[in-house]
Amino acid sequence: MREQFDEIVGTPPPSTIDTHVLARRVRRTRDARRAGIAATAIVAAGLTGGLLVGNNPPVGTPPVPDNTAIAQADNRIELKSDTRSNGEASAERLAALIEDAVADVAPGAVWINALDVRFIDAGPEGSQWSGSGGLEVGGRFGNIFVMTVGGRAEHEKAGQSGLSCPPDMSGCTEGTSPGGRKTMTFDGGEGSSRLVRAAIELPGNRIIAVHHIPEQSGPVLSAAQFLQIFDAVAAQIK
Amino acid sequence: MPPPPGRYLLATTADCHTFVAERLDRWRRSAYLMCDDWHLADDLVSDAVMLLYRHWSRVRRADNPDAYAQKILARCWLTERRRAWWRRERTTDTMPVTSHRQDERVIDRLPLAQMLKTLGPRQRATLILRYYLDYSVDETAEILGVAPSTVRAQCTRALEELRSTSPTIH
Repeated sequence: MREQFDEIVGTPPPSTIDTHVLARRVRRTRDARRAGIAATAIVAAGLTGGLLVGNNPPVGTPPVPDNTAIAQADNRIELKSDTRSNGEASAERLAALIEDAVADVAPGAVWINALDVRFIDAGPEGSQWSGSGGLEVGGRFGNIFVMTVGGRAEHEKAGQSGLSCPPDMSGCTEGTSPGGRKTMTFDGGEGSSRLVRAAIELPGNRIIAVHHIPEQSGPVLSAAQFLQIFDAVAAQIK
Repeated sequence: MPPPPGRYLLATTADCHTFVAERLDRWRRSAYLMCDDWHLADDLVSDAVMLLYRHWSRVRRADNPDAYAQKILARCWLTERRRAWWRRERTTDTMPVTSHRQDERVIDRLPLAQMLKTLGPRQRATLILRYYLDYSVDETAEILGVAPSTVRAQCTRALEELRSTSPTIH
C-alpha cells in the first residue's frame, strides 16, 4: 500500500515554505504581544496617575506633596510565583526586560536564538526563572544562560553566596552597582573552560545571574557589559 | 563558583529549525495525501510549522515529538476541513499554477487514489497515518483524538474495500 501512496504523491514540487520567515513571523507576534503587555501597563499607570491628579483637594486645603510623578514612573514589574500563570507571565516580562537592556547596552546585538525564559515552579521551596538565548555581537556568537536564585528569607544566605567570590579566585570581583545593588562578576578559565559570569541582587532576597561560555572567537559581551545589562534589568524589578 | 546550568536549557530556535528541516518533506507528502492539493498542503504545513515554533518547548518535551508534530499537522487539516467553504475559497487575479498537478488520468486509476477521494477527512487521515506514516493504532488514535477501536474499524473497512477492487493490495 505504501507504494501506491508514493505513486499518488509522485515527485513533490519545490517547497514554497520558508521556515525562517515563519519563525520570524512567530517572533514578531510574540514581540507584539509583549509590547501590548507593556503598553497596557503604561496605560494602567497613566490612568492611576490620572485618577490621582483628578482627585484634587478642595479649595483652601493646604497643598500636599504631588506623588503622581512617582506613581506614573513606577513601571517596574514584580516577579510573581504564586500561580503558574503569574510565574509564566513574569518569565515573559523578564525576557522582554533582558532583551531591552541588551539592546540598550549593545545596540548591534542580534538574538540569533530567541531568549526563552521559563518559570520553574518549585513550590514553596522557592520557584525560579531560568532560560537561554543565542546572541551575536560584532560577528561573535554565544549562548547565554540566565537564572534567578533565592526568593525566600531563609534562602537569603544561599542567595547572597552567589554574590560572594570564593577566596583566592582570580578574575572574580565583588562590588556594588550604581543603583546600590550588590554585584559579582567573574571572567576566568582558558579555552573551552572559560566562563563569563555576572550576578546582581534583586528585591525579594533573590539574585539574577548570567553565565556565558565563550566560543573560540571570544565572549560576545564582557562581564562588565553583562553587569550593566542586568543592573538595568534589576532596576525594573520590584 | 556555581556550575553553569545544564545543557537542557539549550532550547533554541536552531533546534526547532533542525527538527522542522529534517521532517519537512515527509510532512508535505502526508499533507498532500490528505488534501490532494500541493498549494493547500504547503499552507497546512506552514500553519503547523508556526504552531511548532510557538509551542516548541512543549513539543521537545513530549514523549514522542514526531507524533506530537504530526498531531499538529493533522489538526490543521481537520480544522481546515471544518472551515466553511466560503472561508476556504480564495479568488486570485492570476490563473492557478497547475503544472505540479499529477497526471490525473494515471493517478486517478489507482484504486487507493479512487478510494481516498470517497473518504471523509478524518478517515483519510487515519489511513495515511497508519499505512503511509506507519503509526500504530494507538498512536493514530492519539494523534486524531479518537478511540483505537475507531481507527481499527476505519482501517478494516478501507482495506476490505481496497481488496475488493484490487486483490493485489495487502
